[in-house]
Amino acid sequence: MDENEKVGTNKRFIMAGVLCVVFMLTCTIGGIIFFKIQINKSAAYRQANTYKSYEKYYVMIPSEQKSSFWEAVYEAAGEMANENDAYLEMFGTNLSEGYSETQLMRMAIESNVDGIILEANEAEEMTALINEAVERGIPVVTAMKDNTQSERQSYVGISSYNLGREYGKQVLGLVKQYEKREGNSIDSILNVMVLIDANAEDTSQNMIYSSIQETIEGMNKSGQKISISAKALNSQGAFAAEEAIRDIFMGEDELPDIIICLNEINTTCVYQAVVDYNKVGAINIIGYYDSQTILKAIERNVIYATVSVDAKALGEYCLEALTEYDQMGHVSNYYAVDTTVIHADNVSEYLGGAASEE
Amino acid sequence: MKNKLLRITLQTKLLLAFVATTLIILMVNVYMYYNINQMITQLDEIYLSNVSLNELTESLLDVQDNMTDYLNTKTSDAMEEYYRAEQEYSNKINKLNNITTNNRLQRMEKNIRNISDSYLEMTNQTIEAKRGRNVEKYKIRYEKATELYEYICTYIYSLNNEQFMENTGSYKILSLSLRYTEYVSLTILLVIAFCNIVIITIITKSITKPIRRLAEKANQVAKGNLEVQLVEVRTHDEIAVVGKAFNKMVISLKEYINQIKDSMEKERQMKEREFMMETHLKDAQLRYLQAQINPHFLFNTLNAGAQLAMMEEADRTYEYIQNVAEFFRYNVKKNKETVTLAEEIELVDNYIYILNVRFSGDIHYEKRIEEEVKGQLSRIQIPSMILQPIVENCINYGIRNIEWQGLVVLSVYERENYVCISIKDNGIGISKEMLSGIMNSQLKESDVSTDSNGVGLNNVISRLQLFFDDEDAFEILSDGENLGTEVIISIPN
Repeated sequence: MDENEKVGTNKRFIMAGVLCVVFMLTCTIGGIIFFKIQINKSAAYRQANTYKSYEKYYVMIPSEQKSSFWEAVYEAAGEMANENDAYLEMFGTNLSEGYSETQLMRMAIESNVDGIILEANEAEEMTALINEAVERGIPVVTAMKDNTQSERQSYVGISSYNLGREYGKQVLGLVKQYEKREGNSIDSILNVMVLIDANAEDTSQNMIYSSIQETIEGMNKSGQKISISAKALNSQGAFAAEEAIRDIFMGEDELPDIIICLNEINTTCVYQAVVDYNKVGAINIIGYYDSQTILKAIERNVIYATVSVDAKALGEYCLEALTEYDQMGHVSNYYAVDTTVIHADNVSEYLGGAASEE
Repeated sequence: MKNKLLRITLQTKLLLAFVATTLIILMVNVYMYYNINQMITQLDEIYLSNVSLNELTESLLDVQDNMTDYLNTKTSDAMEEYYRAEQEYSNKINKLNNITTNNRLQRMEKNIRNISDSYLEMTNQTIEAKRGRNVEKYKIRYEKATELYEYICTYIYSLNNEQFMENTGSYKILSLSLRYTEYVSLTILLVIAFCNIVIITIITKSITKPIRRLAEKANQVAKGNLEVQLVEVRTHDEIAVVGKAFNKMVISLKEYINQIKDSMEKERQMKEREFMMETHLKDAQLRYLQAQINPHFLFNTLNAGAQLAMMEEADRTYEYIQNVAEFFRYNVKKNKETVTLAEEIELVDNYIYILNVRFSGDIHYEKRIEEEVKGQLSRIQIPSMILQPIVENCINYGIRNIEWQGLVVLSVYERENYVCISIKDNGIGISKEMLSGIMNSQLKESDVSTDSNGVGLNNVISRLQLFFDDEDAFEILSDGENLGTEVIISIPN
């Protein structure tokens, strides 16, 4: 009995000892594993060896990096680039200094990138740069704005003529409303102001302007007299466009009835100015692009209509052009992108869509 | 395995416990320190990329400065310096990333590398043009190179910033990890310390348990329980040695106690035998003394004389001889250890009669027996041949040579629990010295009168004392010279 008890206690002792050792080992090993995890975590964060590498390195140089339009274009193009083992970078966003398009272009060329998507202009300097890039074997695709003189591989954008026609149609739609509202005031002349970038040396604005003119004159079946004028805004330098637009409201003796904006920034600025100077209803805006601000303005009936370019399609076409050139050695000279008109009737679907996108 | 475990000594056990636990703690500590060290190294390395970028900038500045210097001075020193700087910068540039990834930092590196390549080409061309004294060209190239230089500077600066931000993130994570590591280390150390305490407790318990068992057994032995179970010794450590010694001690104790018990028994037996021998000796002496006064022959002769006197019708002679014969017959008949008091008194009567015949009735004798005792006379047992020698002594020493009429009084009375027999004479008495001499059996043979019939007072005293096992059974009283003597025999009733 005593003997058994003794053996029992001995066994218990040994069991306790073994348990202790096991517990200790578990703790130690657990701790060590924890260490490893911690170290690996930080190491993984630091070394970031998991980065995906790509074969091609494309860059996108828009004139205005921060606009939501170009961001949408970049997003669409970037996704497509990923699918084609390429990486698209909005060039210059990481840099501590803001560079002009030409400087960025120069940097891109010197960086020896594999392709450039460029919102070009008709400047000679730009032509030279595009040509240099092409010479160095870097394909250049111009988007939205072309440099027709250059040897760029392809142009992706809307036809200025079509865009002008679209604007003209919207003006005529507005004219009908004026007729209804004002009844017999046929003698009064409806002033239409087209805001044009004074520094743009390209012809597209001229194309659009003449197209608007043509459309309004050709299709105006009412007796309403319409006067179309172009207002050149000096956009050189930061915030110049905004100031120029304010100047119109401040300085002009007679404000136009309809203002046509050809880019997003101008649209937003005019909208804000109309609100600020209490001209809602007096001045109708026909804008460009479908940013949230613009869409909301349409919803509130401050902006009559906006002509939107399918940014996703634009981005995809740009990349398609680059990829195709890369693979085939040649590419179609022109990719046309559709335009859509958004007004108060159909703005809700864009608003909803935009909201869900965000 | 178990046997091996049992064979471990105490020292080794303790050593094992401490060494094992210490080793575990040490190992864990070393590992932790190693980890922490590694983390700190990583921490140090975090901003290394920034440092190298700064170096890159310096190197770039060097190239640009040296180029400008050469353009300014056209010294060979400046050119040498330029080429050195160019080489250095080129080496640094070649270490930069050259792959397109979705990591903007790596892409920036790639761009820096590519622009730098262009830049270096441009600077080289500039130097060439300068050497060729093509003023137009080198100016243009210089401007281009400077433009590129500025781009690169901006790029490196931007990359530096971005990296710094990223590194700060890493630093935060690492420092957090370090903090976690601290906590985990502390926890592990605490747990291990706790476990170590438990293990040491277990080990020490396994060491002290046998000691306590040993102490328990020792206590039992101390209480006198030698029949305790021996301590079970299974291990081979120092305690086992003590246990074995204890077991040996218990066994030896048992053996010694048994030996002592045996010797005590033997001693007791020896003493008993000694005592027996003594009693036997006494018995022999008694028999011998009795034999001294056993006159068979005389008795037979006297019987014959009595028959003769009867035939010759000499009645007084017959009676006399008859009495003498009675006297001697007593000896023959009662030749055994004990007789009754009545028989002894009768013997005294016979003796007195004989003496009176011999000394013509000179001896006066009185018997005073208390009525209560009379009935007991034939019941009370005393050694034989006791009273007669005393009476003989009285007559021979007490009253033989006195001027006045001698008287011997025999009285039997009861006192307390004793039946007392008193034999008193009115003779010459005994001096004090003589008295103590008699009582201490120091009388020499020469002091005993040769005309006694041989049974000395000494004999009587020792026999009485032996018989009753009482020193005071015999008593001689004398008031002094000529004041008579009294002998009192006290028989326990």
